[in-house]
Amino acid sequence: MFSELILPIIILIVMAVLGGLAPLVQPKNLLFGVRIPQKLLKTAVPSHFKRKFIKTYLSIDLVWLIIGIFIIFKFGSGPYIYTILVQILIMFGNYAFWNKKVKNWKEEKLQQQPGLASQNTARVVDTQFRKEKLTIHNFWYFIPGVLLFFQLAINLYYYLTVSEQMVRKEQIVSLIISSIFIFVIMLWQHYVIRNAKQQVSARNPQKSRQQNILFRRRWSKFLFIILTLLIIGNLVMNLSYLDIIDLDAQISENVYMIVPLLALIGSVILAIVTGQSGSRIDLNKNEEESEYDDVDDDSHWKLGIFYYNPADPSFLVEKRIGVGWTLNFANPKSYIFIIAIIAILIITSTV
Amino acid sequence: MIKIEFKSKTPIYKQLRKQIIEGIASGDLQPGESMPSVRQMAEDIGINLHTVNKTYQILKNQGYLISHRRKKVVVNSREKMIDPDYKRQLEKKLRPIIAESICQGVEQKEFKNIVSNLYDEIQKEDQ
Repeated sequence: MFSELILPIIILIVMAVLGGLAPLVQPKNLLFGVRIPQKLLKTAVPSHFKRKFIKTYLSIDLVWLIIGIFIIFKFGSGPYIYTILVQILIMFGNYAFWNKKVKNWKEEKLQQQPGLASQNTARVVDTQFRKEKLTIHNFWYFIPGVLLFFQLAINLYYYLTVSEQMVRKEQIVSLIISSIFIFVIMLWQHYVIRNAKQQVSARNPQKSRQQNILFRRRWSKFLFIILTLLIIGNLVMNLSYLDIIDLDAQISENVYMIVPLLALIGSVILAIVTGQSGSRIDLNKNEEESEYDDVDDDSHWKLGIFYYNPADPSFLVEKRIGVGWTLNFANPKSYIFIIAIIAILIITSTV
Repeated sequence: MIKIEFKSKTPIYKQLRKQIIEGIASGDLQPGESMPSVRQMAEDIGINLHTVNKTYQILKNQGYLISHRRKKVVVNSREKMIDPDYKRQLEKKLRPIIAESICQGVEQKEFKNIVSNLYDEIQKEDQ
């Protein structure tokens, strides 16, 4: 009883930690999703924003953590998905709040001293970017692909030959769905990392280009490992349901805890070490900063969270606050994507 | 690297044309090398597909790029880029610039220096 509550609680705590990482992982010229011109950055170091961000976030989120953990203890792991949802809302609320604050601050500063505004702004794009290795090679997906195929084949074989002996059909079906789902996510993240809009800063093109490539490679490797481990876990569990292998209940329970834990803690560490867009990767390469600032596209980032830019044909972009990727909600592909997600959720929940 | 200034008075398709030609001149874009697709380039820069298409079309007409099999666009070979009429055009383009420089008090030696520095800067010889 107690052990099945540990995972939801840890997930909740790690999610809370992730929500507080924003000030740590952001690139230098971005402050909670707001572009800061070089000159403004040099004269007024707005470090107090970071401190205040953490303060407000902690004070709200600690209360919620205590309530959330209490709910999980009281009502079991059932409502834990809702505790996570509230956690995400708090995180986004805090992002939006500080995004607004910094936006106002920037506007005020630039009104007082118009000389601090960016003189030259540009968007820099590297024509060689797509020729770099941004993700692991497609070949690697054979491994989880074969494992998934094996899982499907062996279940089909057992179903056709010794169907009456299969006692845990329901669990097996849900394991199969889960594995397929994980495999689809795997291919999707690969697609996202390969195709998302490149982030090369006009301020230091060579360095930021290199950082962006490394950022993508690292996440590609990390996600591949985690998702493959999940597929292996499902397969092992599946084999034990077919009585092909004898699995100690204790061991299988531990395995089921360890992989999600590894995923969550690993992503926190990777986020801190790498930073969004690779901004925290030290390349030991000092590039002279150009006089150019990145184009101020703050107005397209609603609440600092949602990218909505009808003039931009791109579909997948790097987030402005936090780590990872998001959609251009002005692109029709985004609606297809959202509808597809909702459809998948409805289908899987009814099966 | 391609640099586009959205606030500039120069239209984006013209900026893009200049940047691609500079990429070819500097060796960043090698003859025979494939260009990013129109869609990829438009998405990465964050501009309309038609703009990129227009630039590619102009560069193809001028011989800098060439359509290779179906939709792929590649950098043309150096010999094929050469327009026999170019030197005459160059003189025509330079004439008002030199006239302006004389009015602005730029000495002939200084002018030559600027040209030679820019030439070296663009053409990274040691490759």
